[in-house]
Amino acid sequence: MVRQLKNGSRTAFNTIYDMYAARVYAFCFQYIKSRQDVEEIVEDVFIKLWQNKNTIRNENSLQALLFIMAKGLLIDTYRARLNEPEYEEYVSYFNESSFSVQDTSKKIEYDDFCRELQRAMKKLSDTQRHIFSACKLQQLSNKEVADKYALNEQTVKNQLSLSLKILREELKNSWIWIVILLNC
Amino acid sequence: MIMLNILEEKYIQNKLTAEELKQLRHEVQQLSDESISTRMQARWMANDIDTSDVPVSRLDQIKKRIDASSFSSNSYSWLRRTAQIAAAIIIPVLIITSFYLYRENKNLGTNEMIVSTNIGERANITLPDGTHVTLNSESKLKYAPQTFNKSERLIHFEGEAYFDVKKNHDIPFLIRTTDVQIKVVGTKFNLSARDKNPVAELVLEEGKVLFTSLSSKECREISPNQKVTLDKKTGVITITNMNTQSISPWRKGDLVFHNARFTDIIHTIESNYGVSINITSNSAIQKDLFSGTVPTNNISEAMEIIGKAYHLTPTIVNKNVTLSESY
Repeated sequence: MVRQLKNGSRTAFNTIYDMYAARVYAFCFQYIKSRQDVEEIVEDVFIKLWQNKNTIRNENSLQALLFIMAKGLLIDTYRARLNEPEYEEYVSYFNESSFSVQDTSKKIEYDDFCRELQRAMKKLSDTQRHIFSACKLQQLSNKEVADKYALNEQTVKNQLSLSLKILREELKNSWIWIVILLNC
Repeated sequence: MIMLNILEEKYIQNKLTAEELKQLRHEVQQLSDESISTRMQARWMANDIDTSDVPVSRLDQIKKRIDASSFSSNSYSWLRRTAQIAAAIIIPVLIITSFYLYRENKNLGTNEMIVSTNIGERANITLPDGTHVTLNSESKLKYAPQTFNKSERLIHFEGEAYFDVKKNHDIPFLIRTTDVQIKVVGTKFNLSARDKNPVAELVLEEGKVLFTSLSSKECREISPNQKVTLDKKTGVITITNMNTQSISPWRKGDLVFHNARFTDIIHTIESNYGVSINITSNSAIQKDLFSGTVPTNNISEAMEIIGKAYHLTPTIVNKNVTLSESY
């Protein structure tokens, strides 16, 4: 089949896709957590596979070849995700909330979380949004935020905890809808 | 290393705490791409990856996109590209052109329309409302097409013309000259309002006319078969009753000459007007043949036309005309 692929057989290419695409998807998702990003990688990998079909040596190395084609984008996105403040929010949200998300079937996806977070942030006042963004997303310390917005540190702390409370309330409400949708 | 394994495993299982995430972040930051790659590949090559969560519909979507970018038929893709480029050029050009044409069109609409005749010329024009105007020589008519048939039909006029105004009771027809203003709704009349004449005259054939002197503001209503005269100096308006047959005698016809000899022309004019014409010039130009039109009711205009053609200056005293050399 690899030989056929090398010769330019589309049928062979389709078969290879059916065999490996899901695996590529699932594997990358473990590291990247975002369906959007994963889909991009899957697409990229198979496009490259077709473009470079001539360089395949033998059947055994097909699986390895797929990894090589994926690893560039995969590693970069993995690193970025670890550093992302939104992801940290995602993790802490699920740790701290009493909402039963230990059951993985009801787990909220990271993509959806980001979208809901954006929407919930609109419910904050301008000041709260600035403070939240500065503290959590830009990772400034309370003192730095206080200096930046000409507030005293206690105000910043208060506003921050208030913002977090509002956001969690908001997110909890929307999770209910999402959970219902998932269960349909 | 063991720490890293544990953290990584927890990360993959989504069982990290925020604190642990921070630790993992720190650890990974220390690693090179190669080390990460080696670790990942080991996991990849093992056979225990759970694919049950992967949505098949999404995989199909992705495959479609892959097929689209890898397998577009070559024989058509150049055509598509050419079409795309052509469209990208043509569409902006079309838009700009239509803007330009639209503006030009609007501009044309706002301009004034002017119809004028020179000496010895006649002109027929039909205005946007269907009014028919016959201009006599040396006359000028002006109107603005954009506003003409809206709330009123206004024209500026100087000279002499016969007006056949289309009836419209809602939109009055206004003629403004230097000295008078005429207002009608649907009428036929002859108006003579030449700046160089000491009087302005209107002869009404049909309909009704409101005749206003712009200097005295006096306004008179005219009925058919009446002639109204404005004495420009005194501002007096006089109305007299008339015989309809002589409303616009100048419209009756002209004397038309084709390669006519000078002497023949002189004779024709003499008999038409009942005048005697004396020539005091000996110039050989009179041997030239003349082609042109001469009015039958305006001796001074007729003589001026002939005079111009033959470089002669006419002098008219009652029934005697003298043509002398021009300088």
